[in-house]
Amino acid sequence: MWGETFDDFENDEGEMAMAKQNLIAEPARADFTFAKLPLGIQPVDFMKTHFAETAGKSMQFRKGTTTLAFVYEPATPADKGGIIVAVDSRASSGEYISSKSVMKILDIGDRMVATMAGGAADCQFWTRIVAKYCTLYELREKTSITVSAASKYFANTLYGYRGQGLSVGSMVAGYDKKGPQIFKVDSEGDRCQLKVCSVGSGSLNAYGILDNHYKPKMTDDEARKLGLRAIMHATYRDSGSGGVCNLCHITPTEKIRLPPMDVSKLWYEFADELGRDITYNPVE
Amino acid sequence: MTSFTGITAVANATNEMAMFKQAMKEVAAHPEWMSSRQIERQRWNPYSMEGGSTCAISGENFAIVASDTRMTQNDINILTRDAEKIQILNDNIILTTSGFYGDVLQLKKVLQSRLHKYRFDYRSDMSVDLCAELLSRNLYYRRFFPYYTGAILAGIDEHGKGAVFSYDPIGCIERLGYSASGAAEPMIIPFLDCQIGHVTLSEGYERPELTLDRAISLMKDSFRGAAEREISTGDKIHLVIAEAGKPVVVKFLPLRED
Repeated sequence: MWGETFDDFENDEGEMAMAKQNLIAEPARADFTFAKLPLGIQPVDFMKTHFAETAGKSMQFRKGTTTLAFVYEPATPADKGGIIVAVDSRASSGEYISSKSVMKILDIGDRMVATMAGGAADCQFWTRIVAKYCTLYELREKTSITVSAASKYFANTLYGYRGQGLSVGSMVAGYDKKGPQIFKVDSEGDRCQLKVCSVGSGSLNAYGILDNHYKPKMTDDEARKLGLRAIMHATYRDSGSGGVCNLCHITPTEKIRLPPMDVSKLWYEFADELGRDITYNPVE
Repeated sequence: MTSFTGITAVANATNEMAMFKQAMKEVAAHPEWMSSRQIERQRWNPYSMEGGSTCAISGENFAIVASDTRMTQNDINILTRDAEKIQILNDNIILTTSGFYGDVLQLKKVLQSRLHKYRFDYRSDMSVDLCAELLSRNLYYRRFFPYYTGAILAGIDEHGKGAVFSYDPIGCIERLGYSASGAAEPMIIPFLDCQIGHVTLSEGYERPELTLDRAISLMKDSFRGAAEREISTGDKIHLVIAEAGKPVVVKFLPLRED
């Protein structure tokens, strides 16, 4: 079927219809499988032996993260509202920081993003697969895909590889005909819709800030600051997170990516705002 | 009192479930019918680590790649002093890999054949951006039986700018200004962070421009520094220089041989 064009079927109408049908159908690569280990060897055990803490530093997979996303409504008519997605940028292999500038907000479409937590390669690869599915869906159905459908495809795909050692904790966030939506998807096949959501090793710290300061109605400035603040505090207390804070604001009309902010500088900014010294000084 | 027994019952049930799950896991990993020989095979090790380090730096209109040429066994026994870990795939793509030499060679072969096919299909050389994605996917296709390699792809992109792509063993890709992989990565990267990234310099200080000459001398320094303190790095630096619009230059420079 590959390499077939309409030119190959000039006159025969029946054949032409068949060809159209073939070309319209999504080219499913059912024959594709990942290279497998020899029979009788457990992939999870094999990975543990050769690519976990016991392996050399350079052979460990990159991981470690704080990511968060929340939906909010505009407080004043001047604001846009929508979704704020904020992430840190550290990738660590064991104790070694193998990158401090990873982009953990990956595009799925014009109006949708996925965040990256867990195994970096797993997230990058499978997000690409989902993005491909969404593009093909859009071409085939002539309407853009909903966040719900995209995240369900993502969750189903991951469920197919359950127990084989994939490690993905992703939030699919975006705007569709139903409004702003966030779905948390993970490699166990779990998928749930949330308004305020955080994933990764620093998620507990981020939740602390989010739960404390989140309001359903906020101004754009407030919302962006909340995202930055939660990431900053998470990176401050979680050694697995750090680097810069990347922030993406999905409004009803557009997707705005803000320039990366160094978290160590943010710390000083927020300390100024609180009007106190950055270090704890016991009163003498 | 009833509520207490209720809680105990629930706790017991949860405990039992956890124990059952554990037992299931153990049985799945080592079934009763498996002979000791088969269980032994579970610890099957197809990999070996041949050590060495590699590094790449990109600039405005150049990319330089270097690696040492030592190949060791168990980090101690030196197998050869001139193993080449850098592959020049075409005029503007250079692949450099550290790790298991068998996988290094296999990866080279896979990429070379894909590049050859691309040349046949499209009648032009592949650009480094495309090759970077290709490599990432090929690494991921072996997700459950990975290549035991730390790869770096460098070259000149379509706009004539230097490019460096860094990978983990299963294809997490990132475009960077400079990157290193292998045994001496934790030594080389902090040095380059200081000299090229200027992360230790506070604002308002003059930052020297990264010229080709400066990049080459930094590369030499980082390998000489690594060879002083890292046992599996040494013998020779295999240096490859790609400059936009010029042919690729290959050089060998001496390093410590002890």
